[in-house]
Amino acid sequence: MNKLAQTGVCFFAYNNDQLDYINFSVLAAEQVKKHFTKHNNTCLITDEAGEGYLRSVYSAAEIDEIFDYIVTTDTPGNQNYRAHYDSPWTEFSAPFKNGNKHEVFWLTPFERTILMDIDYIVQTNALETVFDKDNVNPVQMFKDARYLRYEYPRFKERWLHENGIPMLWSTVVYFDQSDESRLFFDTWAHIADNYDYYKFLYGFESKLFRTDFCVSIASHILDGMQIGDFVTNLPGNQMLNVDQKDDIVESNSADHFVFLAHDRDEPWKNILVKIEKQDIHIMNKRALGRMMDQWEQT
Amino acid sequence: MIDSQEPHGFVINGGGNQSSYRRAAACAMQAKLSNPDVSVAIFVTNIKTFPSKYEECADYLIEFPYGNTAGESVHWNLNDWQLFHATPFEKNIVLRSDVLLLENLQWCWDALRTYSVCFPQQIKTFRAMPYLPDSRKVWFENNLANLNDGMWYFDNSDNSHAYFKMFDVVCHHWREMYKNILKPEHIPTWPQTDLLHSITNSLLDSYTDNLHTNLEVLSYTEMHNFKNELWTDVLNVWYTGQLKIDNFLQSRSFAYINDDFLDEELFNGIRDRYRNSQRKEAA
Repeated sequence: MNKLAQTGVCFFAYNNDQLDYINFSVLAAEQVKKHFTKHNNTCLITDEAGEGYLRSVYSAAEIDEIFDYIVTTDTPGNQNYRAHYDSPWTEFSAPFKNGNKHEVFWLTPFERTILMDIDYIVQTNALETVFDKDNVNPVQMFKDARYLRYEYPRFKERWLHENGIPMLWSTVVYFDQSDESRLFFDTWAHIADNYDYYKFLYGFESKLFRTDFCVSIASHILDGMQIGDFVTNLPGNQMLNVDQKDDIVESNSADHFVFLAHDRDEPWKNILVKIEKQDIHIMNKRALGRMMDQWEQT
Repeated sequence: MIDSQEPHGFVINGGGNQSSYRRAAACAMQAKLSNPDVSVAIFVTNIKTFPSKYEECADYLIEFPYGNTAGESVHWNLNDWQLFHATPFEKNIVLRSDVLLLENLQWCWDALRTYSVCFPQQIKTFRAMPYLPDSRKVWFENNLANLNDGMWYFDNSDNSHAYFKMFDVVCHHWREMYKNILKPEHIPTWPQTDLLHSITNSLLDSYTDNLHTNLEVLSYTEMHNFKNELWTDVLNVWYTGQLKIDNFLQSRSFAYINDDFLDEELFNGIRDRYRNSQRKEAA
């Protein structure tokens, strides 16, 4: 199928009763528009309800400025309730509609695509380099991450289990329309369709359907059941994560954040961390939402 | 040393009991599966006790010429000093009997041509990640360098002869060597081959000569047990001609260390594939 544009960034957003993913996707797309100098086409992939909500909140002109394309899909069937945190002291549960993320290969209007989670806030154009013409990698993801205190991710975010395969982060996925890329997404789709089987085969215990695990297994299979480089690293090599138990103390825009980074062992102890000019993955969505409300009011 | 007949080959210490013979047979068959053009010699303490059903596995079955240095013990490795004197090959890669050779080592022979004796510095986990055994901390405290003995190399040169002369002494007097070289709290109760080789190299001051600069040469995967559990009780094993440990395909040489790994199913699998390969060649 001929794609509509050469390059761009896709976002999936399906609202639930707890989190406004559509609004988050608007913020994430605005940041791409602002910081990517050349390859800043954006595409929202959502369901009818999501599109309706978007159009109810934003004018047509605003939407056209933010999203170059909107692709409507059926709402993913998997309810997939997951626990969320908003600082260490508040926990809530919400459905995590991620069951169709692998379909982006076919849904994207772009020849070369960055699939970006809506909580990934770019403050630079570092990722834009994947669109360089001499980039021959078919699929790229972050294989490593750090948190605000520059800690490694917890063990279960690095390996699927104690003797298991390494975990890749599906937060940001670059891919093209090559046969290799198609093979990767076909494999991802197969794993998603047979998730319970692969859960037992790869020995991880998780009731939650996680696309991180799917892409990790797909990558492992396509590396010939070894640790390899079918999927290569994204520019920067590490993703910077803001934990759900971290909070945002101060922010005047999406280009400036002061976070309260909690201690994993003694969560009442925090340090302040200022982040500017660095792409960040803000997993505490309620905190991000509060800041967005504040920006609107000021 | 006997008159060398072949330019290179694999040498396995087959020990002196049924368990060690079985291990050596599996090692030999797997070596020939992955390196069909290379001959294999199994050394044993007593040819008469070597099962005839395993004779098909090797090209040479050789009795250690100078008796069993291990005596009544099962430390067959103490006979390794005799390999130089009885090998039928000019250039030898020694395979420890618990090693399954899963790769073709043609490139290794080329990489070793400037060495007389050579040990690998690096071993890896089943996930192909470099691994330093805990025991090496003790070695370093005793000024011994790291090396590994799952696979190692020697040729028929004078340098090699000199190495084996010293190794002979170390094997015969390993207890005294331990006392002289190791701190009292570090002395093991049994002769560890890799430690004996490191001691030999230390005495000859030959680390620089005998450790390959390319960490991948002779590198292999060595399993290790967990604190309170055998790895064979924890990890899944699949063998279908290819070996997978907990979803990781093993493509390097693989040292399994626990005898219960080589169960009937695995042994028969290796043997059946080996026999099929021989049949194809005969055809």
